[in-house]
Amino acid sequence: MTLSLIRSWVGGYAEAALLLTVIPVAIGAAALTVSEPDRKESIG
Amino acid sequence: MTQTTETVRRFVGWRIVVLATITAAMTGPGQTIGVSVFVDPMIETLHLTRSQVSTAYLIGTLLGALALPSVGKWVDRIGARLAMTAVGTAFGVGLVVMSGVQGFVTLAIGFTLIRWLGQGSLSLVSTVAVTHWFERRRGSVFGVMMTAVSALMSTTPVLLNLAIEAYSWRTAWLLAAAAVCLVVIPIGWFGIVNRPADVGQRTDGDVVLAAGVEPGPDLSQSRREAIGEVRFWLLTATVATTALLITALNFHQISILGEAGLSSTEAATMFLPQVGGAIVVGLSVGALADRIPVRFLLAIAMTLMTAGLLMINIVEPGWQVVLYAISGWPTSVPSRVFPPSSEWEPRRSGR
Repeated sequence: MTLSLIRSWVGGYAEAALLLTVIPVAIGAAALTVSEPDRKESIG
Repeated sequence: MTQTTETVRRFVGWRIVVLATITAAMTGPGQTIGVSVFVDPMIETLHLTRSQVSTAYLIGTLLGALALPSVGKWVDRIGARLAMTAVGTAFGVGLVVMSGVQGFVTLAIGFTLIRWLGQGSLSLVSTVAVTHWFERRRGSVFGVMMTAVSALMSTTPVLLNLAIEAYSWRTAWLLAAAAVCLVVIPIGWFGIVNRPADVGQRTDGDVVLAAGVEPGPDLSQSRREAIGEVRFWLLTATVATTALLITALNFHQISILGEAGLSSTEAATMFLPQVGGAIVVGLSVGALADRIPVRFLLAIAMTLMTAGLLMINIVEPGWQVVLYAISGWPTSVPSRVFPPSSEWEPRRSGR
């Protein structure tokens, strides 16, 4: 529904998809800022 | 030794894996890639807008998801064998309902039934059927099983589209119902064994507990501890995003690729390279997760998902279509990253 709804607002799939790229870009950027635990400590 | 080998050879768990793989693949008509080939013909016949059909799908998916936790408790109570038989029957009925939808309300009801019973319940009971048979090997067993399920399921949109073009979309739903009932019900009733103890066996086919094997440290955390960490929410956001965007692209794939100049059959065929890409990633991401930080894997997945969205601007018949289809591969990243990312999120659930 999200894609369909945004498409009806902006006129086409291409424009709707362009707007939706904000979500993965934000999450991808956030992922890079997160620290990871030491694997040697945590692997059982 | 001879007796041990004999017992391991006859381990029923492997048969359960094969049967559960088939039943999980039979959820195809309730999955988005299966439903997507029906969208345009149903819009035409029912005189609904694309947004109305999408809204009905949203309603069906949400209601189906809300009902799923109670299904899980029910499966635990009555066992996978009876549950699979019952769910297979009910999913068949749901597909019959889909063949008779007349408007928005009945469409939403039909979507609710096939999303709840097919995509949700049949997937769940297929997983539970295997879970009871494996502990140590569970990760590798599910890795192979899910890859096989993806491969089998990729044929669903192609077969359904052939049925739609040969007969009608209503007949195609009926054929799907017949296929589900003929395959899932016998497997459930005659093939599934609830637990190893029911046939005098142990999980993983063990005859005796392996000597000298000590359990690893308990890395689990309480729910409160888990939800207080950024990493948990990042993983959750990644899963939610892939579910949201890939479902949206799959649901409208016939229309999107139709605008690019492909016929409905050609557009449905594009699910094959898409699933192929997901399988390749499924087999390789686990290994990559041991070598590079999980945060980089998630970032790469999101980058490629962004690329897939941007490709809608330039997609046209030829290599671009194949590349666009393959861009669906991030679908399989979170599910493959979650097991190796136990370093990130050690056994968060279940407490």
